[in-house]
This record gives sequence, C-alpha cells and structure tokens, in this order.
Amino acid sequence: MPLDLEKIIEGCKNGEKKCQEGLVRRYAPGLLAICRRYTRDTESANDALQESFINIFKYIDSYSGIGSFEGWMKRIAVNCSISFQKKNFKIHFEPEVLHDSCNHCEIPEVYSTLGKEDIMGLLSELPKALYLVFNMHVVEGYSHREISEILSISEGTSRASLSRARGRLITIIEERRNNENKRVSKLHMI
Amino acid sequence: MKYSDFEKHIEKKLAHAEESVDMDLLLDQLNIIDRQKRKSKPFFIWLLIPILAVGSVLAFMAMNDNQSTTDDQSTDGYSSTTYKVDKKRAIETKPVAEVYTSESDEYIRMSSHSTSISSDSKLMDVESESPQIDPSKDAIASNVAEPNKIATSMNIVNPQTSNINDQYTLRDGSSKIIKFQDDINIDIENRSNTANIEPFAINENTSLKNKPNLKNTGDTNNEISKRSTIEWPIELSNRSISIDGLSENEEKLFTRMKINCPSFNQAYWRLALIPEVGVFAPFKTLENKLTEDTPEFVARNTQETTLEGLNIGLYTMLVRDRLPVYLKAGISYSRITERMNLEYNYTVLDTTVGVISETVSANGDTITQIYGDVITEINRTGKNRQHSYIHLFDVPISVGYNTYVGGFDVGIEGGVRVNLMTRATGTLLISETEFTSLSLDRRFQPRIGLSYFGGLLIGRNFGRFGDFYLAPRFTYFPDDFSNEVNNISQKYVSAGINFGVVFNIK
Repeated sequence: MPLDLEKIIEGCKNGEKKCQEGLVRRYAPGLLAICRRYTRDTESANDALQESFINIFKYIDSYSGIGSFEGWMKRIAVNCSISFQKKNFKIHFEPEVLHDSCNHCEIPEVYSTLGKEDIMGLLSELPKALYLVFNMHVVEGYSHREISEILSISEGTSRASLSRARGRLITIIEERRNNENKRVSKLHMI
Repeated sequence: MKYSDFEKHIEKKLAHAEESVDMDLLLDQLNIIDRQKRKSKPFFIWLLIPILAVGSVLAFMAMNDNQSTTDDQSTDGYSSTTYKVDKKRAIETKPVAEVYTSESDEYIRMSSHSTSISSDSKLMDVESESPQIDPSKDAIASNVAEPNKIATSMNIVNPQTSNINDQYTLRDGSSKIIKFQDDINIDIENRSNTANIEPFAINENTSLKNKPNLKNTGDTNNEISKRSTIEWPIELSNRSISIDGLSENEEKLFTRMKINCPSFNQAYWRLALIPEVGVFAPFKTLENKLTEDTPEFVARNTQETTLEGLNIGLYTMLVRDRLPVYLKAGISYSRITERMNLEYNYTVLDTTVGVISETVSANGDTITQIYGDVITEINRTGKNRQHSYIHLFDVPISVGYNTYVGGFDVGIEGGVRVNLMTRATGTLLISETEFTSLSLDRRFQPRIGLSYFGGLLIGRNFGRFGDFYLAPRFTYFPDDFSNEVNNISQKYVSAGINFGVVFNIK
C-alpha cells in the first residue's frame, strides 16, 4: 500500500529507510527526466539524480511544507544537474542583446506531432547556454528572476538568451524545412 | 501552427516526462553513498576512536581488578576460604569473622557482622561440594572447597547482631543464633516455633564425625536435620566441633577456634590516567624594550589581537585512599595565536631624474632644459592580516585537594609548569609594514622556564563511564617570551577551562 506524501516526508525527516525508498520509487522517474534534460547524457543524468536524492534527504528538514514538495525537489534536481553541467564545461552567456523573437512565426504542422525524443533532438541543436535558459523557462516554467538566481546571471541576460534561443530554434526549423524541400525537389527531378 | 503553440507542445511533451530508472541500482547507490559519507568523517573522530578504545580497555582492566579481588589471606599457615567479592564491598563488609581450626588446616571465613554486608545482597561465590542452602537474597553462602570440610550456608536476618550473637534463618523458616563464647565455643540456639529446640552450643570438644545426636525434647535427629538446612552427613573426620545440647558424645570436634578480624584500615595507592583538553583566553602584555615607541610596537599594541588558546594534556594522577589530596603530573601542549590586522597608510617619496626647468631664448631658437631630481609623493594604504603562533610543550606538576559535596567532587589544585620547549611559527610585524617569518627569524625564547597555575576542579562520577571533571584554571607566565633580538617584551597570563576524564589504572 503506497504511503501518502506527508507520511513519506515525515518518515524521511526521521531517517526512516522505508519512507526514503518510497520517495525514491515515486519521484525518481520524473526527476531523472529533469536531470536528463539538463545533462543530456544518461550517465551524468544518473549521477545528478543520485546527488539530488542525497541532497533531498540531507536538507529535507529545511522543507517547511510551504509550497509544492515536488517543486522543491525539482529545484534541487535542477541545481544538481546544473552543477554537473558546470563541472563538465563552462556555460558562456552572451551579453544582453535582445533579439526579436518570432512568437507569431509559422511552424510547419508536422512539428505539432513531434514526440519527446524528436523534440529533444531538435533542442539539442541549440547552444548549451541557450538551451539551458530555454529549457528552464519553457519546460520547467521558471521565471527570469529564478533563472537569474540559479544560473547567477542577470535577468536581462536570461531574457536575451531566451530570445536568442527562440530565434535560433526557428532558424533551425526553417533550415530543416529548406533542406527537406531541397531533398523533395531533388527527388522530383529524379 | 504558430511558434507559441509549438512551445506549448514542447512543454506538454517534456514537462511531465518520466524516464525509466533502475531502482535497485539507485537505491543501492544511495546506500553506498551514505556509507562513503560516513567514512569521510573528520580526522579527530578517527583520532578519538583509538583513544576511546585504549581508555575503555584501561577502564575495564581497572574495574575488573576491583571486582575480582581475591582475598587470599593466610594466617599462621592455614589455607583460607577464597571467594570473589567486590573490593569496595569487601571494605564495606568489615569485619569478616575468620574461624579456623589448627589441627585440620581448615579455615572458615564465616560472615560479616557489620551492617553493610547484610543490608545488600552480597553473595560470596565459593567453590562448594558441601550441602548448600539456597542462597537467596540477603544470603551469604560460605563453603569450603574440599568435601570433607565444613560448609555453612545461611541467611543473615539480623545484621545488627554483635560479634558474639549472630542470628541465622534457615530454609525452613526457623532461626538460629550462634553465640561465640570466647574464642572456642559457638552456641547455636534454635528459635523455631515449630522445632522447639533448646539452645545448644558448639564447643571445641564436640565431634561431628557422624550425624549429630541432637538432644532435644521435641524433635528427633532426623526431623531436626530436615528442618535445618544444614545437612549433616558431613565428613568431619579430622576436626571436632563441640555442640552443647546436641551431642555430648561428639566432642573434640574443634580443638581450637579463633575469630580473627582482619583490619581493613590498610590504604592503597591508586594511579589514574587523565587525558585533558581545554581552551583558554591568554591576556598579553607588550612592553617596549627601547626608550622610544617604535611604529611596530604601536601597531602591535593597538592592532594585534590574541585569540583563544588551545591546550591538550595527558596526566597521571597518584592518590592514596582516604587521603583527599592527590599528585598529578604529565605532559601538556598549548598553543597561543596572535592575529595582526594591519591597516597601513603611509606616504612614500619617489625621486626620479627629470626636467625641472625649461627656458626658451628670446628669439625662440634655443630651448634650455635643466635636469634634476623630481620628487613624487606616493600615498600607500592597505590591509594585511597575519598570524603568529606560540607552541608550548610543558610538564605540569600539581597537587590538589578534593572533597565530595552533593554528588560532586569539588577541589582545588595548583602547581608548576616546567616548559620543555617553546616554538614560534607564523609571521610577526617587525616594522611599520614589514612582517618576518618566525620559523626563520627567531624572536622568541626556546624555553620560557617555569609558569604557575591554579584553579578549581568540579568532577562527577558516571559509573562505569568513569570520572569526568571540568577545571577552570588560571596560569601565570612570569618570564618574557621574547628573546634579545625582539625589542618588544611579550608576557602572558591566561584563564581557561579544561575537561578531563579519569581512567583508574591501579
């Protein structure tokens, strides 16, 4: 019989192994997906997940019950994943130059059917810093202020990075479309 | 499709995505990590473990020594009954009556007449093949190892009885009083309501070679022997006990009986090992050896701070039982730390050669330049934080007096500290802005001679965990720490508190 969340949290605060195991079993898949989005490779994602749970158990006493527990854990996982990212390479953010984002640009309809792996493949073509901000804002739902705190950058840089990421994404999509058109036209010529 | 809808699609697909996790591996890894984290404990924890282990062994040895003291006193060549009894209890249960016969080489340690032995349950564990009465609470069983020796096992009911009259309750509820008639006679009086036995006595001429022929009005021998827990088929071939009223035929049992009350006034020396740690606040006094105040003296006097000192020591303590004084000596290490927060602000004059004058002729075709010293003032400000350390290795020797007040050991102690070695490390300010390394530039004495300390001691015993104490302590260092190279005299007094654990060794 699954334990309810409050009992799990209370048990984890008391260091009960059973509750810790319950927490891991319940939230590990979701947190691993978060870690995977930031680290991009399975091994680092697993390490980040492990580190996340260690920190969750270590600091669970500091969780006051205000706000979502999932959100609190997600934040830890994001921080751990970003720490792993920083260990492996430097994340370089461009100066604050806002680019015109094209929210009203048209995207081919076929993109509305993309699955998770395809979307990840598409986003992996973004530069790391831009991908990071894009992922945090669009997927995780962090505000620019939160992103600036987590990444130790200014809000302006966060906004600029998001704008550049969007522009770059549209460019990638257009390039893909053009390449596809060329390929189709070549096929027609043949 | 608009781009904003595409972003929503991305969020929808990714935000709540999950990945398959190898749960067993993850759970195992989390446990492994915990174990590794536990391993990476600070160094002092690892240092503490062997200290505690050694301390525990010493404490165990000391306690074991106390508990398993074998009383092996022999008097006039007679073997004594041996039993294991706590040393402390043995001291409390004085006096023990020792009964022996000269002919039979028998020596019976019977019972205590003091109040303390009967107030607690103290079973003296004796090798026995003789008839045994159940040693219940408040019982003392005292048996002789060899089968043909006398064995008695009886409950002491009335602890307040004197040496002369002792009352014993037997298993059947009856009670007997043994009267010690001078050195050689013991009277046993049966006070059982049911037995109705007349008082009888043991004298030296009564023999118990066979079942005693009890001479009683109410009961037969067998009945008496059943009622009493002294089971009589005792082989007493070589001894005789004379029991008046029991058997007149059995005589010459005890040829001589002597009650020998050994003295427990003997005091022993005890040795204890005391590891001690402490912190102290050193109070420094700086004096300028020169007639004028130098900048470094002013800076050190105003900006140098003495931080808390650390002290560890290992002592041995010698104490004699029942004497409230003790002697303590050992080895001690102390460290004094000085922190210099130097904030400097000074002007440097920089002199260079340059054009100091330029003259142009009237018609403008000649320019005359005169070169000379160009003096520039440079204002330099800054902060510099440096530390210096003084390490003291001493042999403290002290005497103390303590007493027991309200569950606590309270005492005072004082002594002298013989300095074996003094070392200074770190950096020391030697000019307005310049520091020197004390490891290379010796500016302190290699030894500072004697210092004196005194203080209080408040301790408490925590049972088998030993004695712990806190000792507020004041130390006075009369000698100057600085050597002749150093123009600033540096002296200290300190006040601190030490924590010690006493492990009794012997």
